[in-house]
Amino acid sequence: MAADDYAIVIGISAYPGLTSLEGPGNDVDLFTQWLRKKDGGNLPKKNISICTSRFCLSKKFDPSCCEQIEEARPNREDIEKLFRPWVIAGTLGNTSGRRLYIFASGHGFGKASDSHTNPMDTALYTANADVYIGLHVAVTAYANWLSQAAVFDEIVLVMDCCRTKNLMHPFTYPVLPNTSHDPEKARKVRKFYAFASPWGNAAKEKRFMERGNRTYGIFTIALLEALAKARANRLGNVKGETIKKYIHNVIDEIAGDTKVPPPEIDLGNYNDLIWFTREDSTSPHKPLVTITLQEFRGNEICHIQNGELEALDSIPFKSERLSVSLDPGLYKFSIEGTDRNKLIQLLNDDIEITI
Amino acid sequence: MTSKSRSEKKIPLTIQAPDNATEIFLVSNRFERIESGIGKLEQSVSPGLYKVRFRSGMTQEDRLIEVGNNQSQVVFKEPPLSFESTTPLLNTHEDNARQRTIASQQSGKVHLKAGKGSRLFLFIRHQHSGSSENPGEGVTLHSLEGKTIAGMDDGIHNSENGCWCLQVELDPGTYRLQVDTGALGTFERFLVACENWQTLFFGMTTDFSLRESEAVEEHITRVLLKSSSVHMMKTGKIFDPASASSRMTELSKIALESGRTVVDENSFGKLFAENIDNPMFGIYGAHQLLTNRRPDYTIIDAIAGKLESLIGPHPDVLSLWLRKSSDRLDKKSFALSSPPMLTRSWELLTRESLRRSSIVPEGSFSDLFSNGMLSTAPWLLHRVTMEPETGSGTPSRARTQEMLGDLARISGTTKGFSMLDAALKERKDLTQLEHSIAQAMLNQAQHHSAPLPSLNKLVENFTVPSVAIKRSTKSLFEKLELKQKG
Repeated sequence: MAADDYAIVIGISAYPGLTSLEGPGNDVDLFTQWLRKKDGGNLPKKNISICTSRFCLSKKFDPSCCEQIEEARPNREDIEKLFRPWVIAGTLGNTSGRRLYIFASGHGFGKASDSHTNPMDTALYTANADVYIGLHVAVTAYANWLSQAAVFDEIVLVMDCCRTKNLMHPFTYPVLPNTSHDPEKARKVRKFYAFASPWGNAAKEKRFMERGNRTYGIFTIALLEALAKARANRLGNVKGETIKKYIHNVIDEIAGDTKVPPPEIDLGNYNDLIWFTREDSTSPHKPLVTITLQEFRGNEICHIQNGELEALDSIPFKSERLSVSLDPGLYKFSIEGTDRNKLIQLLNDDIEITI
Repeated sequence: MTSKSRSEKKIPLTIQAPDNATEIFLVSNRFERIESGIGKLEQSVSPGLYKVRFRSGMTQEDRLIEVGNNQSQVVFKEPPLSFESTTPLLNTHEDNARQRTIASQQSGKVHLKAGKGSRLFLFIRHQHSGSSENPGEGVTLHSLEGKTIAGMDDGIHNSENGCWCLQVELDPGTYRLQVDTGALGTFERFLVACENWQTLFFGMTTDFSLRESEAVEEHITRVLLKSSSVHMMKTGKIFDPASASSRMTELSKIALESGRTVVDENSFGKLFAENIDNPMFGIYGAHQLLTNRRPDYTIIDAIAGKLESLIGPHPDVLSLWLRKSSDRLDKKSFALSSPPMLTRSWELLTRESLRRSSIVPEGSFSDLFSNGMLSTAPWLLHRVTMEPETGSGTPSRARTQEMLGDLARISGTTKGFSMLDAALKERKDLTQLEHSIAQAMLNQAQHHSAPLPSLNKLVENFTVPSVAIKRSTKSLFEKLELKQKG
């Protein structure tokens, strides 16, 4: 069990002063499940601090009623108190654990000054924000401060929220102590900062039929799929770079008709972190390619070449369909004696092709 | 002579995008990015399979290609990609042939004369032409001083094809295009009309209904200013939805919107010359290049110079000179009293106002209206509100800093903190900016080791010109009836 790993998981769905969302509560559920899973984050329950509309609101609260905006929660205090123990530890110069996960889903915005001086500054609107008074928590500021203070060896920050900018809402940094940190320790903190959208862009949520017709953040689903399916290296480690590439490769497919901007994922300047280690170091699932012939004559042979055009296999068709399991990658399938061929991209899902 | 092994053998690969504003990413069979480019990518690669990703606007398309062992070179050309476009262009997601034709035909007509020398063409459409509601509903055009020039009834509504348009002939200058969205308020954006040029505004409608449940019957459909698009062409010309320059300009606008750069620094001069009939391409492109880590100012300066000679003192062109090292800025003393169209220009303007507060003249529109400015990339929007009055008179920089110091000192005491906190909660006569300054003081007071909110910091944080911060600080001081130190 990852007893030295901790998580702060925030999801805000009910915004009486803005448009309420459907996804964040579900995003929190999914990510928390992964954190708890033995072959996921493997965190003890007590190490996960959750802050959602559901946890904070009484049943009497009606998020659609703007009159109650001042009662809307989680508010800034609810969220900031989750960081407090780690800020105190950082102020005292203590190291508190191996890794801190910070997951935030809801409405958000990016810092509205020169876009390229602070490209990462991103805030999550608190539930009591409205279009005039944009109350928020600058989540990236906490991640950066904890990283500077080297409170953890690794910081995983995931923000599934918009990063558009709003001049009406000045970006306010939290009140954090001015303490002198060891720059060498800070340099060695491994990071994985993932944002659903690049600076200035909106994140999207979507209803997923295959997930019980519930709404989730598209980025959260891409992340969870990467965590479930991304391949481990020969040591069984699934690294940040692998997760990043996987997300970039699948997010458009997951988004479907919804157009999403490319996510922004920063791996920091120190070594890439290992998200987790798969007990079975081979792929968790070797996808299946099913080839159907346009016309079956009984003597066709299928030649398979890998991405470097090396011959992998030649398989005779016994019927009009043929299936083969392969590692993710690019492949060329061709039918001997014909000019019929197909190039395919194999990620982790089974696919069917016709040649 | 021995044949080269696979790893040593390299084959020239050329990937040609459908246009010079489409990004190209070449990815290996291990899904690792090998190289990227804009418009065209040339790379020598080992024989094998590759993935090529094309990105036009927000549309991404992947292609798999084979570079065979026996090929001496491989050239891969991608046909035009359909992308989401506010402007009614050929081969885009929302392509509607009738709307395209109407936009083109009407762009050559004048529906209203309110001056002379330049034209503004407004074209608003529904995404789905089935709606009979007028897309121009709630739209009004005003002079910078607030005088109403035109409204929905002045334009042409084609209910069958879900579009509305209006061409106004007017004097060159900056105009305010307002949209009343009902409960969410009235928003405006700025449009610059240049002498002998026609500025074309394209917008699509969206639902502004405040719906918390499906029970709401009334739908408020209005044009969405933040995703609108602006093109330019010479007066007398007709908008061509199939032209390469319209497509390039639209893609360049989308890139600015999403913080990407789709113009290549080295070929920008050539591209600008090719698309000179639509100067907005040059404006969008130059602003993209300014965001590069190390911009090549010789290229940007050259483009800015050409744009200025082409369309005159357009605020979004003048703002390209606003940087510390620009000789031109020192030689050329100008003020930007009217706001630019682009957020990026506004950011440059507010930053420059710290060095030269005269860049935004006191009492100008840019000064007085900076309170409700909203920047939603790429356009600078303004929320039209009945703001409480702010005081008059702008103190000096030193005096402002002194007042900020006094405010910090007062809010640092228990009594002062409570007074300021209560004022923020209860007083209705504070403007948004005054409110924000007071809030910054309370934040500082809560954390004593935080640096004092300086004029520079407030300009940076609120993205408003220094003159507005100075005046609002003085006004806040007066409204709270605070006494000066000493």
